[in-house]
Amino acid sequence: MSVVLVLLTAALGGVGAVARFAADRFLAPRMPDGLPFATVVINAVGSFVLGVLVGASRWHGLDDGVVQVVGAGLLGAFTTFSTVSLDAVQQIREGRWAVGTAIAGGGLLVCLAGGGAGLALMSLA
Amino acid sequence: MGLVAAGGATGVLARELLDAALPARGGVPAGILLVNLAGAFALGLLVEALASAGPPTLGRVRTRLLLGTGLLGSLTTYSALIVGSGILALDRSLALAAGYLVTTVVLGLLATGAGVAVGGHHRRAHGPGARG
Repeated sequence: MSVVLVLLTAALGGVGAVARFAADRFLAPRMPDGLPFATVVINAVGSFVLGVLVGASRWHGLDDGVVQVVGAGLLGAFTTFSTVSLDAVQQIREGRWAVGTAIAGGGLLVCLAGGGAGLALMSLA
Repeated sequence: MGLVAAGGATGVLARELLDAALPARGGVPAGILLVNLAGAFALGLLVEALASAGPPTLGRVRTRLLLGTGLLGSLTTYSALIVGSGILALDRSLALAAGYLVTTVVLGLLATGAGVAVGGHHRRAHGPGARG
């Protein structure tokens, strides 16, 4: 992989992180009952878009460099694993097992549906 | 914003280097698995240690934005986990994809819990509540 591509990926990673920060600021106060599901929504959206990108590369010849820079950089940083894991653990520590399970397990299923829909869309298109 | 961007770019760079250094094992993206688990541990430790250190001063808020939201938020990733498992299901087997997902999520929760425990231990040892 070229140095330019790596630097571009990292730069878009900065953009993705800021976009996640802004999206979280927007979504968090709008979640039902103030539940911490904002990161799950962000992850589901990012997984859908990455599914579209990877599917476009796999079935429609989209350039691998685009998948690399936008996928690993922008979407890789927009979505995050550590925060959902921490959100779930904090809920469980406070005795809210149902909410913790919904974030960790339910969040996984929602994101799978998003990513799967993105891939399926491109495989059928 | 600048702190989040700087941390985010650094986190992605670290993930890219690790992902390149650790090739997929039997189709499973070992580098992504490793960064997600390590990042989950580190975020638990960071947030708990900051909370234990005292009220959120400007310095602590900035540290959280740079290292938590930026660096660890971007080092770890969910979209690559999801789509990576989709590719595993397509090219290898559904069982391997499911195993990769469940392993990541369950070990991730354990890693986060371990990080929180270590960060909380820091409080008892050195924090404002520490006794002679």
